[in-house]
Amino acid sequence: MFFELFSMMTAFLAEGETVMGSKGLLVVGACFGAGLACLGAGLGIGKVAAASVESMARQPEASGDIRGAMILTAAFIEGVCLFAVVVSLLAVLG
Amino acid sequence: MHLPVAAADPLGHVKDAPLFSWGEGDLGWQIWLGEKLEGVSRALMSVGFGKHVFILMLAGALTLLLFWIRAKQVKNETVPGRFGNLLESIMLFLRDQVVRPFMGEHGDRYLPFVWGFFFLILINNILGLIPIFDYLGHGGNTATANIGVTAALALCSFSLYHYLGIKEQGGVWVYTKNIFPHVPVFILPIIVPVEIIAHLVRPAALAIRLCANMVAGHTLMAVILGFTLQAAALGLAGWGSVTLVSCVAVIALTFLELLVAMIQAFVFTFLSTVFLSLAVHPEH
Repeated sequence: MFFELFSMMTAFLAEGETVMGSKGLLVVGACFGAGLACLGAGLGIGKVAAASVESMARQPEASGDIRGAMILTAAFIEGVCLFAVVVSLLAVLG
Repeated sequence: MHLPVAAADPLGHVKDAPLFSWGEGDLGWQIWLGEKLEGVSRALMSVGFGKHVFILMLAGALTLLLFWIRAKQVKNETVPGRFGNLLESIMLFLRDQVVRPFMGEHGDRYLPFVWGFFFLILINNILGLIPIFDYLGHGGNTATANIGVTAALALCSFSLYHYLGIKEQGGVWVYTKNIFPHVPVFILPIIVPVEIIAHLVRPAALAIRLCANMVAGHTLMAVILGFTLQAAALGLAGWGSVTLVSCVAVIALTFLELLVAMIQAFVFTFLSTVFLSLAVHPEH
């Protein structure tokens, strides 16, 4: 099974070379950028989740408000990450 | 049959396309009615009416239908029933948690706009998760995955809050004076360009945030489902396990997409309300 996976991977790489011939470095740059953006979003949303879970533990009667604020701010941080993903997509496909 | 998988083009599941469009060689659809539908759809697409426009119109009609049904129920009832409670719980949540903290009781006059934005975007996002529209042809069925649609919504929000701000404060010159913070004169050359850029970036951010969330979610689901097609060379056990894992992952992602649909509708509405409150009462 590993041999088949390996041959599938080499087939994908060869197909990538024919599809993306001279845009190789552009694609690497775009993928790197999208990955870094995910790193930033992961750190940010992790901090939001940590702070909100701790404050829900300190004051359980405020959990409703804290949960609402947590989801809202997580959506904002996610939006910033997706701006970077959109830039990467535009670079690769445009 | 057009499955919602990303076979060749990862974005094929979210792009716009003619309403009924089938590729060459599709078995079973090459009947007279299918060809007529496809011809009409491609003609409409050439003037710009793709699938997303029809889904957007369907979502608008559904929103109006929901509120029309509720209005007819309100006329002759004593207490709200199940549907009334559902709709009113969402509407009251938006009024008490979003509009009133920013604009007080005075903000009740702007509630129809807030409710309209929320329910239109929510119904658009949820219609994108229903697979039946995928089988009608190529392209995606999430109207809000089209940057044109979200840009139009953001433009509506932008012109709405500026128009309401000008009407509330009584004139364009008064509004322009109030919209920049009151700072000493020598900082103004820095503040004014920054504020103008901020005012132009806000609707762009609204549009891109909604569009990118929808595109990313649906593209991810299509790519993971596409693994089932690409793993065909692995033999029965490998192909079966890849299909099983892909399908479980897509089920979990569909639930996540439901959550994201509602959250993005709420975030668009919340930010529109914040900008509206800044335009109408800049000192709050």
